[in-house]
Amino acid sequence: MSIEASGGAGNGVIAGHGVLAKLAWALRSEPGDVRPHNEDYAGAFAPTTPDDSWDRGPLVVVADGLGGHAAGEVASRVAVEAAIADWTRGAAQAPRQALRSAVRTANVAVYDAALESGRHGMGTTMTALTLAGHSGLVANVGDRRAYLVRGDECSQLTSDHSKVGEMLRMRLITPEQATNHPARSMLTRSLGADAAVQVDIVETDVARDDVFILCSDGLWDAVARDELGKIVSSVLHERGQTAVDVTAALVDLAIKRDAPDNVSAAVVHVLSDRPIPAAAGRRSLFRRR
Amino acid sequence: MTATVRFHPGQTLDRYEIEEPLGEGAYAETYKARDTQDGGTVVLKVPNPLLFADPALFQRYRRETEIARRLQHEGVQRSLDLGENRTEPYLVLEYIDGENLRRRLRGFEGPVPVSQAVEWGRQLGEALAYLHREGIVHRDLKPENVLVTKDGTLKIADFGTALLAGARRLTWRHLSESLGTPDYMSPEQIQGERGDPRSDIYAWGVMMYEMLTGRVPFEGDNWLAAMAGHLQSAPKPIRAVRKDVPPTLEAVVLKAMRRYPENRYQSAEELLADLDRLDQLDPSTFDLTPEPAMGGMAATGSALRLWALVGMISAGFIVLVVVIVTLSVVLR
Repeated sequence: MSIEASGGAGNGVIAGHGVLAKLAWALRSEPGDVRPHNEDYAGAFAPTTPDDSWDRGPLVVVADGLGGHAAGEVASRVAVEAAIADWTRGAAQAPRQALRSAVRTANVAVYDAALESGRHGMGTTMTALTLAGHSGLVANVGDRRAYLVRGDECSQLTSDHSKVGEMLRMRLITPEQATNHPARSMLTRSLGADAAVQVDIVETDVARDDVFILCSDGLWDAVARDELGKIVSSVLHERGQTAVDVTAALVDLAIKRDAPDNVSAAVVHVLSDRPIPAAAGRRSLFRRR
Repeated sequence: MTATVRFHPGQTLDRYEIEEPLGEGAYAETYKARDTQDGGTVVLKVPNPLLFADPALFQRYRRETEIARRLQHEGVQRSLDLGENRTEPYLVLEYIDGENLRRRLRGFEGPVPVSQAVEWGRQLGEALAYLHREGIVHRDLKPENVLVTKDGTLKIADFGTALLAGARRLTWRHLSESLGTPDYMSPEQIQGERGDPRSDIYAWGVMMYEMLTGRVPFEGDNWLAAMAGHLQSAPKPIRAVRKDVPPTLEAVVLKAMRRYPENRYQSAEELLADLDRLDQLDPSTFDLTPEPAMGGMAATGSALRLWALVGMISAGFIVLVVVIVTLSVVLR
């Protein structure tokens, strides 16, 4: 496993990747051409103990900070670091609870950081993914998205916590209108705004060759859902490349299309049909096949 | 004011001395200030620096302020921008001694007298006609954005607030103040279109409706419910609330508020022409029939599903009866 942050304003360019016995992951975050700073941040925890030790499961987190005067880049970084710290050091819990706890801890960390530094309006969105047994669990607050690509079909796992997301759920607008709605980035939920936050958790089954994509609005704004599926399928299956190449292809395409914001993507490729080690102490919850 | 206001009384910004903060919105902070060179009172509008993190938005802001500088109309708050060097981008506006229309409306016991509402409607209509001729669509017309002078003249202010519509990465909390209640927002804007002069005409209609009845046409527990009202409900007729409103005035207001822009007045001039000859109009010539709902069709969709369900159950029942009859005939 390796994660590197290189030069550049804000959080600069962040890249990381790793391979475990049952999955390969990669993440990449770039400022893009429109914004001078990278206010996104991303991180991952990959268990170093052998896969079958049923230690803490893998965790991939992406965050997109908001608030001017450098507050955004601080918020996203504080949030990701707090979530990973909670995941690795927190009490043993079932994966769903552990995931929710990690995001809540991130919320409090950002909330406190904003109070301490007087950074009014500092906040961040967050999407976190863990795999446990035969399940994928995604926690979401804000308007980042998680997609699942199976074959070349791509489905969106998360709902956007934005004004437009709520309007779409109320069927006040059509999905086509939502795509270009000017209010599509107005958030109704974020980390750091209040001392408590409601965290959505979505669970899905996992099969071999499934690919999870976590991405910022900079990416989903520029690359449509159908395209995500085609790109994943062509990079992994036709060209035989890896998760690292998928993230690079997605981020490069979004930037080439003048993505209006920072662009980040994290990709997790499931390599095996065997169950994936879950969070600590949960061994009894998952039967091996 | 909150602690986030950037300037305090006595501080200077270029040649202007801050006298008092007037308000803090999502888009900008406004201050009453004194021009130290000529002693006049002005309003300084200092945009929120957050907005300028977005270069596209900054370009749009520049373009709109350029246009605002040209405006000269008694129904529009004037820009006093002389184009002198500034240490940061802000607007210098005419100071209007008065209050905004929201506060003035609160001062009425009940709705506004009909003659006063018509007079204000005409003033707003003329200002809109002027703005539209100049190529400006306000996009966020509401009583908070209309100033009332001491002698009761209305002046439209705050165009440019709609700039926010394209702003990215803003928290809901940050915006709730200005965009929390879409009470005056046209259906097409709710659906994400940028809006055209007819969107301002819709907002004009909603303001008139509010002046005449004392409430906005679509209320709800939250902003989503209010939006649903604009897209899917018909406003309660004005005369059902208030009998002394002439039927012709009701027809003009409801025509301005039609859900589909093509069914509204197509220009402020057309609207003014009708407003000026209320006593010659025949309300029965106005097409105010219910319009189809807009949106993802929640109501229609669920109704369709319900009918489909009813249909399937009936079909199943018929099949069952046929089978029983057939069996009873065959097995007899």
